[in-house]
Amino acid sequence: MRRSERPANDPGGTRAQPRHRQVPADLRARFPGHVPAIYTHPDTLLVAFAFECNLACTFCMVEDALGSFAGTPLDVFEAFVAHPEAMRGITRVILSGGEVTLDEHLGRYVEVARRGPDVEHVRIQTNATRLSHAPYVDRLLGLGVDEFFVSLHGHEASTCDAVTQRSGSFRNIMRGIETLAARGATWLSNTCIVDRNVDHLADIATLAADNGAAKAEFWNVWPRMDDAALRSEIVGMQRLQPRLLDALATCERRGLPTTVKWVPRCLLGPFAEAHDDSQPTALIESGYWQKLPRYSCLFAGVCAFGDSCAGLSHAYIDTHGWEVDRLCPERDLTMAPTPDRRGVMADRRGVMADRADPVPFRSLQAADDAKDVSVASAAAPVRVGMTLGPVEIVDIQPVAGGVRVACGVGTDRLWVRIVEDTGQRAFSRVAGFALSYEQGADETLAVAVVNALRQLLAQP
Amino acid sequence: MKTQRSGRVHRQPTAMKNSEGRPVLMDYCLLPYDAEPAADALASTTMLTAGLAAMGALDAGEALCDRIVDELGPHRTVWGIGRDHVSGEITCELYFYRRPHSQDVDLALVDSLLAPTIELASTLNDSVPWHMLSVELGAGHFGGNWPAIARIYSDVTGLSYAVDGESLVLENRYDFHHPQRDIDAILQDLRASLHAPDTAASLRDRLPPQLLDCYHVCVAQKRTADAVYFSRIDGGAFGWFLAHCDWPELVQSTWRKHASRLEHVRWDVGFSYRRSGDSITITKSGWYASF
Repeated sequence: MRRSERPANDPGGTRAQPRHRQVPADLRARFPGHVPAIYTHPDTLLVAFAFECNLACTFCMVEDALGSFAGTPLDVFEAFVAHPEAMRGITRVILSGGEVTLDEHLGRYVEVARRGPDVEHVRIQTNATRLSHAPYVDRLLGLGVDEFFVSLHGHEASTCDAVTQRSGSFRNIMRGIETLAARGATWLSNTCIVDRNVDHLADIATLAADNGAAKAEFWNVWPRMDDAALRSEIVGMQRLQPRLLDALATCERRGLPTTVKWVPRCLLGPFAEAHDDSQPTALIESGYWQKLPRYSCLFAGVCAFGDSCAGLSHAYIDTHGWEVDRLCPERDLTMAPTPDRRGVMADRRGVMADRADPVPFRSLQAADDAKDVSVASAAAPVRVGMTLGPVEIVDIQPVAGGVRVACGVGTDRLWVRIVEDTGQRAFSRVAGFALSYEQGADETLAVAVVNALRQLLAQP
Repeated sequence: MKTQRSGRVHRQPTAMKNSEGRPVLMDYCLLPYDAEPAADALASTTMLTAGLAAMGALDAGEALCDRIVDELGPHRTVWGIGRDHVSGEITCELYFYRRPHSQDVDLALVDSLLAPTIELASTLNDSVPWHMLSVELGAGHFGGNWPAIARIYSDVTGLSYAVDGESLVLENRYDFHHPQRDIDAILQDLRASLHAPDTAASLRDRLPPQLLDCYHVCVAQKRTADAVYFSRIDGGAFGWFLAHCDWPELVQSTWRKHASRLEHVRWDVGFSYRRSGDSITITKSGWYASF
């Protein structure tokens, strides 16, 4: 569950809610149908106004709005921008719909966006099919559009056209992208991960890199229009995760920054920093939010990223389950479990925990540079470069409640998490360490590393 | 509690005032929660009335509830409407809590509240400790066809016992967990259940995401099934639950009609389950509030 959705009467166990800035009340009062109550994002404003499209993507998030929503009127946007407080701190305006290039007033929205006192970037979300005409691109650039966020859902025609459900869409999209690249425009690729393209995410990344994309974003399907057809497009994490990691690795090799939305952060491995489930503050018809998809994660309450990671959509959970054995949350030990009367240790699925012989805990303090850590006593420091028998300490990173240590044996590497074991409840009142490593690690390597660390930690 | 026909069910919710003067309602543990009822809000007993009607004991059920309120006062009693998914029988269970460190409620008092319509076939030594006592009533009990028996619950052990004549028969075990902090314990209990396979589908069906945004998750082991309960869910989740558990249309239509006027109520729900294929089948479901 998302903490933001919890009942207000929950008295404990949850961390403080992030406090969102209020949208000026007078604006809200004047335009209650379009202006939200709070800023959901500190510096990004999305303006939705063009609810028409020349494609018919299978996962479309605004299918019900196309042809029915009028969008945010220009005068509402102008009033918002003209308000002395409303645009404070807004550095990026995103113009979206629908396909905004189909709207004859796009240029005027761009001009208004550029009036924002702090605005640095004006982005349009587009499928690029109408951007093959160089003078049109030049006009948008001249008006102040400096980021083109291009939907690219396939690496070749058959995949792309199957997703967009429009023959010839891939050809037109690529023409638009080529024009953007030729005019020196900044464009970013945006790929929605669905059943029809999941096997080609790395190919899409390669295509984006080959055509000069400044960034690649991968958004897992956001099931606002939840029905049987859409659920068939939702890809299980067993299939999605390795393919997405491969695509992210491709981007890294090509020097392409990435963002991933609506895939749990803990499934992104070394690319976890790419995770961003935030949503911009939006000027959009209030009826849009009536079909907001809900997200939950079983581990939201014990994960250090439980407030920023949405978890899995309810449509996903209904289709593929909670992924309880696949998720590997970064434990937030400030969220200690409730002492129970049974004295039974929770079996922490997802990690192989070594709890049989906890060592006495005295101190665990990471140095500022996170390359040196004192454990147990000052006489037993762990530092990068030290060797413990066959094990070399390769890296140390702080985590909630302790550190994680990269251990090397030859060319093999294993991350071991060392945290104060506050989970010890009934059968041991002596505070100690909990050593854990990822499920699926090579057992021989794990035993060697854990034994070496236990010997070190047990030193008086 | 009065019926819809008498006009009292549609009155303002009968809410206790705390020291700040804010209205307070009780969950099924008889723990208070803040509520902000709208001006035209209804009492949660609106749904009790629907449940009693669905079980065919509206008049007798309402009369009993009136006697209880008259005797014990408001906000002392938890009610639940349950349905056996195999037989289809609907029952009403009433839960009587003792105030802390007191024996202000005892079996004799409950017996007197049930009489003269319902006979209670339970005898309990006054020295037996319990903090809650319940009586589950079907249409047959209200009709005087057969006696009811009491159950008692111990908040020390989390165990419940049927009081069958003079015998205490162990029935269920309950463990309450915080839905977020204690997720590991919840998962351990659910995945260890002998009444469900340890599969993704089974876990999803026992921890529906629609219900997990709750105050407590209670995991129970019972004699022939296991169960899970979710406390203080909101109206949206309650409506989902009624539909998911295929409650009779009389109940669901009552909910749909009055949901907007019952938004202040936090509902407690639960279901028992048994193993079925790679998941579970729900054998009994129920929902709870207090009056």
